[in-house]
Amino acid sequence: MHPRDLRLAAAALLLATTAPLSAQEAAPATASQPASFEFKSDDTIVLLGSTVIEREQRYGHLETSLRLALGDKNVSIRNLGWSGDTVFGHARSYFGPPEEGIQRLTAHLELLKPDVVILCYGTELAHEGLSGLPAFLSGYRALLDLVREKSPGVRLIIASPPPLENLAPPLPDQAPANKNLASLRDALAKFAGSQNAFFVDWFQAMGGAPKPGRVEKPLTENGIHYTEAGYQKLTTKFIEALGLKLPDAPPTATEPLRKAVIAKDFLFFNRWRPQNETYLFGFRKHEQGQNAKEIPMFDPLIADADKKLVELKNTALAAAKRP
Amino acid sequence: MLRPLLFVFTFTAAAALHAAQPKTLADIPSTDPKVEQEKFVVPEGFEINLFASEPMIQKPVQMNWDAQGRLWIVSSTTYPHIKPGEEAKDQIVVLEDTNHDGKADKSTVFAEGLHIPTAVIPGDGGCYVANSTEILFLKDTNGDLKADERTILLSGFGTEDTHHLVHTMRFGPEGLLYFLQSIYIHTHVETPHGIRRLMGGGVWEFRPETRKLEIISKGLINPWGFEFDRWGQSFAADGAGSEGVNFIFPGSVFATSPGAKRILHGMTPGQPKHAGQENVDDPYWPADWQGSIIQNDFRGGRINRFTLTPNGSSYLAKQEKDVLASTHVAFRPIDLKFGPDGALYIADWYNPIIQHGEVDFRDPRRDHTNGRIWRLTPKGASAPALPAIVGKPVPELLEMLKSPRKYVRHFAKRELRDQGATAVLPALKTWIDALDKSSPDYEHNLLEAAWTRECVNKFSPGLWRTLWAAKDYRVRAAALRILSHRWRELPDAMDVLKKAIADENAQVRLWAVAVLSDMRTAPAFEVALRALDNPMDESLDFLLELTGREQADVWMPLVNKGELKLTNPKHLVYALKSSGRSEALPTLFATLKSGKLAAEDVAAVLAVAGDAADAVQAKEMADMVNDPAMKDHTIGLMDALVKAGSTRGVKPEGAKEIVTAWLSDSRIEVKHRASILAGSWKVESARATLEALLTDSATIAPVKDGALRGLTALGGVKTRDLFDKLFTTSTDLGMKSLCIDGLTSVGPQLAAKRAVEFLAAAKTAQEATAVLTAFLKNKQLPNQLAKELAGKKIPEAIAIEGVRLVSQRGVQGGLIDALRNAGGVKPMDQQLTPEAMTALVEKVKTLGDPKRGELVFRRQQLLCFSCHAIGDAGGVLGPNLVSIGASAPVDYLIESLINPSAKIKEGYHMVLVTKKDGSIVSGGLVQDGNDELVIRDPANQIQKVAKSQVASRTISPASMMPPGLTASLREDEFIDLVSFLSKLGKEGDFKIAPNKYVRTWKTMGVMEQADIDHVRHDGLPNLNDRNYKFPWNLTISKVNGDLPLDELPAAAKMYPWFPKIGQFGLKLAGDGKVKLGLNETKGVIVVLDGEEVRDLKPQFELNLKAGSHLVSVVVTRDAGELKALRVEILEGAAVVE
Repeated sequence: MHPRDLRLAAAALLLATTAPLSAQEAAPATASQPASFEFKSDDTIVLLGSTVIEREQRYGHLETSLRLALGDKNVSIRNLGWSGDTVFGHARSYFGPPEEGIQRLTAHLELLKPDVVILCYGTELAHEGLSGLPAFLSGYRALLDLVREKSPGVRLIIASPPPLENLAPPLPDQAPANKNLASLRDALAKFAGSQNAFFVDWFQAMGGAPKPGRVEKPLTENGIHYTEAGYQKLTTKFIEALGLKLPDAPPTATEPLRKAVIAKDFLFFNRWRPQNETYLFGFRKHEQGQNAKEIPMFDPLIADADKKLVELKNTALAAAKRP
Repeated sequence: MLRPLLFVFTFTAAAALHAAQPKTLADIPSTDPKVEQEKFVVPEGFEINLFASEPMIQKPVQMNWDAQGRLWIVSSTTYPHIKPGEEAKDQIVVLEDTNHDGKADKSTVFAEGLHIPTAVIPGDGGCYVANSTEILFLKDTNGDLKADERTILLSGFGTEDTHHLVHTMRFGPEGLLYFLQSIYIHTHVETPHGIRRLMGGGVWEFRPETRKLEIISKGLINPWGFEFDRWGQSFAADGAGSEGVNFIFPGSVFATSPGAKRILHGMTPGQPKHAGQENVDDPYWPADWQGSIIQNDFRGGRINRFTLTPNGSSYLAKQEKDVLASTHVAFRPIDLKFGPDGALYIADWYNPIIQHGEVDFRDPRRDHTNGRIWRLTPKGASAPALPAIVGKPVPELLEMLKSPRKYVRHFAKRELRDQGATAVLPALKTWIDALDKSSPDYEHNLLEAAWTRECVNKFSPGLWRTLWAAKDYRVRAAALRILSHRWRELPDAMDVLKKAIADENAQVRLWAVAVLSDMRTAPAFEVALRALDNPMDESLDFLLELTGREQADVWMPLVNKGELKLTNPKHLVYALKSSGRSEALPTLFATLKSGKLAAEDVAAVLAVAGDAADAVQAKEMADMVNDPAMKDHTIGLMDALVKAGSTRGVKPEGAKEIVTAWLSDSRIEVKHRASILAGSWKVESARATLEALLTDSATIAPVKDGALRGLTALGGVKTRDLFDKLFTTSTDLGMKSLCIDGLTSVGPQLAAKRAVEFLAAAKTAQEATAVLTAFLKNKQLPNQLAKELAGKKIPEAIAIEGVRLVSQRGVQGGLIDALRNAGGVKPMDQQLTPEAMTALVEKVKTLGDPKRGELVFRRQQLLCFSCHAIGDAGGVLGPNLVSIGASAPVDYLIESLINPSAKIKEGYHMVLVTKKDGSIVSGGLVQDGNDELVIRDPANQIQKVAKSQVASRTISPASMMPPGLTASLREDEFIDLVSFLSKLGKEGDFKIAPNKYVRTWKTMGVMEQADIDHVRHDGLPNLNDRNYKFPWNLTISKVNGDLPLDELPAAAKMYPWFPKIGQFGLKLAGDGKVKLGLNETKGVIVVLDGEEVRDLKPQFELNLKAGSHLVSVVVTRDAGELKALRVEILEGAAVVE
């Protein structure tokens, strides 16, 4: 047997013992999981994950819908998604090892003090295979321990990565990758249960592994990254999975809110992941570190932007209530 | 009389003001483009005109043409950093010259709302844009030349420094999209083929239709230029690497790539900062320019040109005369492209200051609004017709592939790609069939046809085979580059590669290794190793070794199991050595014992053994030392044991018996190494023997040294007492220093006590250096010495030397103050008041004499050249100063001399590494490998530290340049020095000319009688006797290339010549002719290796074999009052060494 196959077999064995599910079936809702996730007024919600989370800020659908669905409960939402990130903090490190990424994340968690953290990790296993699954799960556990340590009482939502699409050649066939994602979802469902986290089966909600053949109306740009229409559907399914209901507000009322969400996200992005980190906070801060004083100046701007979001949300809700 | 400079600086506590920022903006020149145009130095035969300026275009960063002849420019007014609350406002602008008068008359904003975008290239019906963390594809769907569709193609690019962001978008001749990133960027991109991560600089390759993204080359500091030549070979510029043109092939790794064990180098070291690159491939330009590479020196305001000569698998580059120069401080050429009309278009970012690492983000001198595109044309040459490409039928487009103009061929292929495979392929076949096989361009036409198929992503094995059969090696090499993407689609690829690896041309063999490396299989590696059967060179060796190392998991288990047979011992040793792993050793030892290895292979085996051997293997090595059949390898094996023992604590079983036997060996070399091993193996029973060796006056120095090292490693009270006794009783200063050094390991407190006694009695700084250095090897010792110095007195000169050594190594804490107090040294004032700075800047401008300043710079005691080069000669520890004057304001220069730590140049930060044993290594980071760090220490020595031994690593906020170097200067001298620096690289006398002058010399110091006799008895050729130690001094030429003879000692009393003597080395990769030029022949004798050059002329040719040669130039009494010697390499592929 080829060593790689051996590793796969070992991973499969692990799955067989921990998640006795066929890859194509939907994961059953964890027995103890309530039908809906409870948000509270003034919750700070942090989004954490790789590209699928990071790109939400380009479209703003998830935050827009979540704000509308939460009605009178006002929350603040901060996107800490980072392309290519893993539970080990790979993308968050600069000059150092991934642990430096975890340190950076720690600082951000300390800054934001989240009440709710929504996590979507594991997309890399789609292509790297399931041999890394055990390490992934223990890394995930360590990450959640960190989040809890920094924010005692934090409530967690774990989402499984959504499925990939088979687009026309020469784009690659994603069927094997989807198989991996289905297995990952099974493992995550069980993992979320063991971590007392609310589980969102985004994989299944978005239709699970596509049937063989090409996707007719793609929701992804390249088979793996969702388009704006894709994010609309991702959002709808996510809100549903949380047990929330979206009021029927007209686009004329929701679009200004969504645009303001995107503008707020841009401000926040330049706050938490500013360019020129090498000079502002990194090893050359003794040269241009004096410019770092500008970075906290984003905070009042973001607070104002949040206030504006509340106003726009209220306007949109009023429009929804009017028949 | 002039007062010493120190008095000019008032002692002040008000230190908040930035020295680099003058109080006024008086230095800012007029922004009128006419003023800027007047400051161009345009070479004879060319002319320049303004194509576009603000408000049509602001702050251009990168530009690319489209097939319709429109110029797409990415523009950022936000750089260097967005202000809180500011919106993303940067733009893509399209410029058009609708009436073809050489001036843009239409400017359209294609897209806005971007955030420091750094690259744009139109193509595939839209344009690709690098926008900070993302690469976007923007499309205009309704024909109004405004983007109305935005797709995020890739995301996850780092933004740790906004002049390093992903940049330099280029389409290759095969239709792939290339872009690059710089040193501080860390990128993580999810693609449909998996995640790609790139730490540091590198070259990305992207096929949009498959979304396949790969890294083809890593490293370089700021690779702001990338271009292909006519044959599909690629080259990169570097905005900070200072090595000029870099040859890029898949797998190539250059300086600063994290994790790199080995790196390649650029072809023209000593080059200033480059951005933008073009390859001349248009008959509109002079015939001798064709194929040459041009790059912008944005710091010096020049455009440089380099010609390339094939050299093995790579090239040699030679700098030619500048294409353009300017004396305007705000001219910042950062991109350049040949346009549809054949003219050279230059993007001028226009800024009086560059950078934001050393100059404040919000510096008021920073220009945010201007920007120009200049247009350079050859005078009198007839301009080519503007090509019509878009919408042309396929057969017409295919005919354009025969064009001698790269622009036409390139955009014809872009258009063919847009028309698609279905339309192109049938006509392409017809076109190929009709090609004239007797045409000299036939094979190049075939290459264009194959590239066209790549553009439409339809590989044809049949066409490829025709291409591969080409006579021209450049076409065969290009065919293999295509195969690097297509080997999966060629069923007999391995058979082809077996031929390719034995090709008569080295570059073809290099590409064969590249393809085989990409296959990542054991059989492919076996074939790649066959490259060793032909001459190897740096690039080939680099790529083959990299393959062996990175793919060791793939092939090594099969070799160890005997499933992959490497029957040629040379191949086997090379492969195993490349792996650098201990599993390789059993097989390597077997080959060593077989006695079939060449000397260099033996050295390779032993190097691996020292690095990787474990205890069992150490035992096997000890057995080999004792095996009479292996006696030729005794020393090598023992050195490997010493390395394994001292760096990794590896100790064989039976160490005591082994080392005891060796200590009584009659061979000195064995005894010496055994003494060291006794210590590292902790053989306590050997102590008495070591003590005897150390104290016996008959023991020769090397053995004494070994005994000392052994005893130090054994440690303990006994060692301490012995060293202390020896220190007290010995009268030999060398022995005393050695004892203190030893004591620092076994009794630091006592060591410090003895050291202070020693320092207090020291007569010269030289005497004290070893002792002072001994206290800088870890973090505790400096404090120990500082404590002991409290209340004591040492000579001032000794204290100054101490301060210099301590600050150079970045040691923190109280030692500097303690030395100053003990030596009564006054602290240097490091801060000028703003008024004093303004006054000094003014004096530099009005009173400074750069000629006198150069002489100050050259003074031995200032040590400038020991760390800095000007051009290709001088030290490498600090930044190259070749164009410092053209980029750095005068106040910056002054501040840097007085307080070197205030601003530190990118790449010249000092790293401090604390090893697990507590010792410290500091200096400039040369390489950050996966397994080891390579550091250049302040003494210019290379230090390697295994990563496994690193406890911590920090970057020092202090400069490696010690403060106070200029403290000894009078004010007028200081002013002259700054004046000289401020002129470096500017148009005028202090710009390094492109001529290849010999700039690094060895000059004869004061000769003793024995030295004179050694020459007189056998004649002048004896000057080139490498085995004789003449009193040579390193001497660097002046900026103008002169070796000033009056700086040399008085003429040697060597009858009949009474000469002054200079010597340089020449190195050639292959046999060839070298033509040298000499400024004077009267009374001058040139000796090449073992012979005088007869009939010396001002220009003379030498026939040289590959390898190293020595040339001595003897200036005899007959030369009269010759002031300077100037030697130039006029022709030939030789480098000075």
